[in-house]
Amino acid sequence: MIDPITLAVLEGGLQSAIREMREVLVRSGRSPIIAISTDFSNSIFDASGEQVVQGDDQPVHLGSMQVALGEVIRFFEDDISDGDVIYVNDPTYGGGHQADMTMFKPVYLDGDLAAWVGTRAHVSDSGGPVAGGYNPLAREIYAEGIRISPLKIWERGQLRRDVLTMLLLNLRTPEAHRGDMGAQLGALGVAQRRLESLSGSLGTAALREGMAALLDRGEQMARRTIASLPDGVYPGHAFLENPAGDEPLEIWSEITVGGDRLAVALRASPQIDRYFNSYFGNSISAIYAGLLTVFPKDTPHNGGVYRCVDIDLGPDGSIVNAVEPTPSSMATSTPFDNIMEAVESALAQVAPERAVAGWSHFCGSTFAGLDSRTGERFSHLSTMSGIGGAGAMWRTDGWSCCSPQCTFGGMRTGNVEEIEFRIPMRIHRFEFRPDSEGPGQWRGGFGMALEMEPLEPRIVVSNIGEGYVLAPPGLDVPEAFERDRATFERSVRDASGSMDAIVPHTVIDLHAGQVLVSGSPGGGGIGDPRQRDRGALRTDIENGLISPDRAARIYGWDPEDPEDPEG
Amino acid sequence: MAPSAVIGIDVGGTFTDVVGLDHRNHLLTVKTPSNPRDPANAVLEGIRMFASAVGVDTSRLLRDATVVHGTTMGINTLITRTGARTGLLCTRGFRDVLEMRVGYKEERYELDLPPPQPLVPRRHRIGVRERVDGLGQVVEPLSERDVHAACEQFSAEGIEAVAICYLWSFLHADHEQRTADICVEAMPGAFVTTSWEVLPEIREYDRVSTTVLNAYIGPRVVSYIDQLERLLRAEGLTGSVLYLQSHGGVAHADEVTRVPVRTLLSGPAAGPSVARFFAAAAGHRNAICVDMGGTSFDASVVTEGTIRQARPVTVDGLRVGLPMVDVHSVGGGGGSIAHVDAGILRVGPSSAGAVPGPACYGLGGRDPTVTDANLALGVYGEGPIAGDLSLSLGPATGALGGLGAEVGVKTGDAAAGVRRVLTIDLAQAVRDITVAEGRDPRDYVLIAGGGSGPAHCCAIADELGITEIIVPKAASTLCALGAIVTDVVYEMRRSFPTQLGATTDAAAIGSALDRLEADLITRLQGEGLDEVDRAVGLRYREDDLHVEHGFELRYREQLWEIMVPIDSGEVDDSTLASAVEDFHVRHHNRYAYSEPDTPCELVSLSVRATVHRPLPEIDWELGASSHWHRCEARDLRLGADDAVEVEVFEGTASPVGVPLAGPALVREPLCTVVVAPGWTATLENHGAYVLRKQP
Repeated sequence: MIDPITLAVLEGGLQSAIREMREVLVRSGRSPIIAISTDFSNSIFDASGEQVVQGDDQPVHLGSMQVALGEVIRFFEDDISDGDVIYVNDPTYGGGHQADMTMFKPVYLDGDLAAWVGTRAHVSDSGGPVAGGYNPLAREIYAEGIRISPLKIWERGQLRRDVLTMLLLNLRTPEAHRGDMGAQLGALGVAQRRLESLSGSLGTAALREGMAALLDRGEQMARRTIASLPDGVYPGHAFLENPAGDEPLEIWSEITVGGDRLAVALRASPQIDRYFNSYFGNSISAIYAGLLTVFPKDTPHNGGVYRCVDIDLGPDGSIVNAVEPTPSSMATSTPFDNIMEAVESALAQVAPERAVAGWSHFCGSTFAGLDSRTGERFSHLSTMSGIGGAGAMWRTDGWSCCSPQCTFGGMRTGNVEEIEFRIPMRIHRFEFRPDSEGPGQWRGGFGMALEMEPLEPRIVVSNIGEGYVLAPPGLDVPEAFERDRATFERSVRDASGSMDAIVPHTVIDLHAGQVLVSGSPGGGGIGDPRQRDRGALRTDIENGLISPDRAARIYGWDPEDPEDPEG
Repeated sequence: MAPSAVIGIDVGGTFTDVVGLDHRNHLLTVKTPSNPRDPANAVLEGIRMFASAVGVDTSRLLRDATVVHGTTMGINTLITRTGARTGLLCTRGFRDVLEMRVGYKEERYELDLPPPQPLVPRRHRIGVRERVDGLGQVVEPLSERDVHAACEQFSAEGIEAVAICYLWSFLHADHEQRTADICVEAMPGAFVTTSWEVLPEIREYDRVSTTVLNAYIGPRVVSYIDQLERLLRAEGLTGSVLYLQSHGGVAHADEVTRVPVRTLLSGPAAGPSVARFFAAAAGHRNAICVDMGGTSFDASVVTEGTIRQARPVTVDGLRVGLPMVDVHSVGGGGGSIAHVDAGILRVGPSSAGAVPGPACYGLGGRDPTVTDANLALGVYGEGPIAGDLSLSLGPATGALGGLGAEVGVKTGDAAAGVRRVLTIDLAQAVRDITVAEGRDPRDYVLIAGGGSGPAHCCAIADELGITEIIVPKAASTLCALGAIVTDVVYEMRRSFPTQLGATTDAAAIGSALDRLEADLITRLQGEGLDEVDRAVGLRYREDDLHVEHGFELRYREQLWEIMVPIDSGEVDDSTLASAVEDFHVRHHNRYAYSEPDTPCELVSLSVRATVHRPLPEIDWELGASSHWHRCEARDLRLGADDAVEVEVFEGTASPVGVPLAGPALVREPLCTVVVAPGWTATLENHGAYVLRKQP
């Protein structure tokens, strides 16, 4: 039995390793989405591949690294050696989508496999017909970029130049990719060194025993939380827009709380031949992310917690349990966000005080073309065009212009100046979009308004994501007030000022003189907007965020209201 | 009193400390109650008390004196949100940059965290038609009409301070400057500030946030400085008043009134200067300073004589893009409470504070704290300590016994465990600011201050592999001392984003660097600013200025830079080539890889001018003992091993230059120095114990 003092020493050492991994990736990653948007995660696993610690990184990667490592171990079986570094991205091997590149390294102590370290990062480009990895035109997974089954990029300490060369040959930005791989390798290296040093100070046996104890501890904490929830069976539901038809797609969830176990079952519409399908690893992550609504903040992200949750993704071939060859490049946001919503809507009945209204989904653009300033090709995933309003909770409004729920608001848009320096486009407007909020006693955050103009004769714009039709749902908001909700809008304005709405999920050419105009929805509100605090409402009106007309119509605003402190 | 007296003033929440040397060169500290409502008069009162303690007239003291001042006016104004009613003028289309925070929520796993409130509400953020592009070319001229209209609106709404921040203004400042001229004319008495003055660097979010903060705290800081200077001049001051800046150097009044946000972290910024002072006295240029009191542990780093800075930083929820001394603070002090969190022993961050305090104070505290563990292990002895308090073993072992029962170990093992876990946490705090930057703590000397630091420094050093520790005897007055050992430092960076390659125009970079240096020197020399400093003309001889240049570089596509020093202000192709080579090396040191074949980008230029101030010749009153005076012996246990009997020596009678081998304890009036097994302690002439690990 390992004592709490030794366990503290071990846990401190592992957390320290995770922090150093993060530092290496943030400061030296090359893809903007790694460096600005911190779209990466780091984990340390025990020898069997169970996740002992994960940083407070991207929720999109919660738990799915463990799933992917399980696939890697199954694939190589005993063919693992000291000095190997394994690279994988394919959704059928537990990957999220092909742009998420995962690197694992076994750590040998005293000659035996003692742990694994892993890092997953979203890179700028993953090959395939469309730069940036999101391909709205893909009808099969083969059109979404290079598929990497578990492969050894380093073998027994030797770089496999043949494999690396083949890999980079398939990518548009090989230099940046090589840089990202360097950053990932660096992160694994610092983690390995810390494990070696812990093994030196505590002994390898104590290290192994301690990792097992940390897993048990996570399990016990999760069981205690689950046991405190009322037993029962709770249904949940979410829609998502159908890129291939008019009828929305649907996800149903059923959460069963029984004693200290929790089961999540998902059922969903059949998979479609568009990029909105989720393979198993990604769906499992989304379920864990949704469950964080009820798990306290100090619950570790580890395999012990996952032991308490039974997951049933339903029959093969649905949008939450996709099988080859269905495409899935959007999966880490759609249907990731929608799966979270389906789970959260069930949990809203389990723990109503922790309920969260809908967030704006990711609905972004990628830009690609030739930059005549450098003579080089560029591709850029615009996180700026993907932010929107966050959902309200009881006692707090949602955050305005926040990155989507699949990132918990943890993705950065980058600065206007940085983006103009990096790609040949000029940004004319980037600010809040008035009247876009979901109304409520606590309102959702506001969406954004963005205008971008190419400075080259032609730039290819790929329009991806979801939110054109359905606004993020409010919670306990009377139906009548939910009708007038902003959704995603994206148009091309030409020199004469005429606007041409873009058809969602298309790839278009944007020409010099044209301006791409986007607006995103606000988050859902919570409670009856007529109950909203009058002072808070007045502030929004004075700030030009809610028009007096909308305030009167939805919130029952009366400038002469005697109840308003300043009215 | 020497004619060039230096008086340090540190305004704290409770006391204003005045520090200086008397005629015998003894260090003298005078404490006077702070007065938040009239801090300038409280400072004057402190100076009068100091003069009387030294035994001279105030006017005599102040004549030719240099007064060095760390002010909390800026940070207090921010924390209490009592700054100026501020308006923002920005490029039209971008009025929400401040509140959008680049889309980022810092505490993402804190789901119900409310959205932050910006210092300027949206209705006072006004977009102006104007636009400059990434090459510094005007795309759309400034609409002066928009500026006039905004000024009218601001005046009608009682706006007292205006921040101006346009896109790409660091490449073309005319629009901001013209806008400022209009505002000054249209809004008499308003505090007007531009991002060009405050932070002429790429990344508009950092720039706008910092400029707004400058406007928000500016009027209060400026009026305080004006009042203080007036009072001191009236009292006879003819020398300069220097102000501590957040980056760790001091500056003249005209500089801090121009950019008051530079004083935001004026207080803690002095700590590393003291560390550098003691490190230098012991012949070191690399020092890690740890200050450990009752509740927190503050760590900072000096590398090659340069204080480590951090940026951007978040201060009270607001983004500040200016470099600040990086003081990394974690919960960990004598009062930190040990508890079991689902099978893991944790120490802190909650603290028993002063009341009820650790269990051993006998004031009703029940929770086991670090001080209780130290008492139980024999690090401290029972009996009276400072401030009418007394330590008793009974309650300490009671509290620790309870912890031991919970952990499943004996009381003594629990106490040793508390120290062990605390050591891990504190060592991690040091790693956060060294290893994460690619620095090896073993290349540093540890400076330990605060009431608890000397009791834990050997353990922290052993954990990090550090082999030399300096424990100043004047540990309690460390920060106030900082004011009188800090150099004048002026530092400016300006972005000049450029792809580096065969076609790079080195001459253009060179002339941009020349302009930056000329601007910086003009500000430092304060020519023509005789209203503030009597002497007309230049403040310093050219020989006094130590000027350093640097480039901030990164690989193309990277988003963070590394500062690379360059040898001189002259820039040609070979300068660029060697800077790039140096960058690869630094990148490798910090991140464990580099890419020599990948092109680099120059992001910002940096110039830093230092005027070294003479270090005070302090007589530390070390006495003339020739041997250590033993006052008692007691059992001491530090690690997993059993307790052994060690001797306790009287710190006030420590001999200079006589090594003391550990394990041993040295009892100073306000702290106990633990000399761990394998270490020796020697009191040196510069007023500090030097602890060395025996090989």
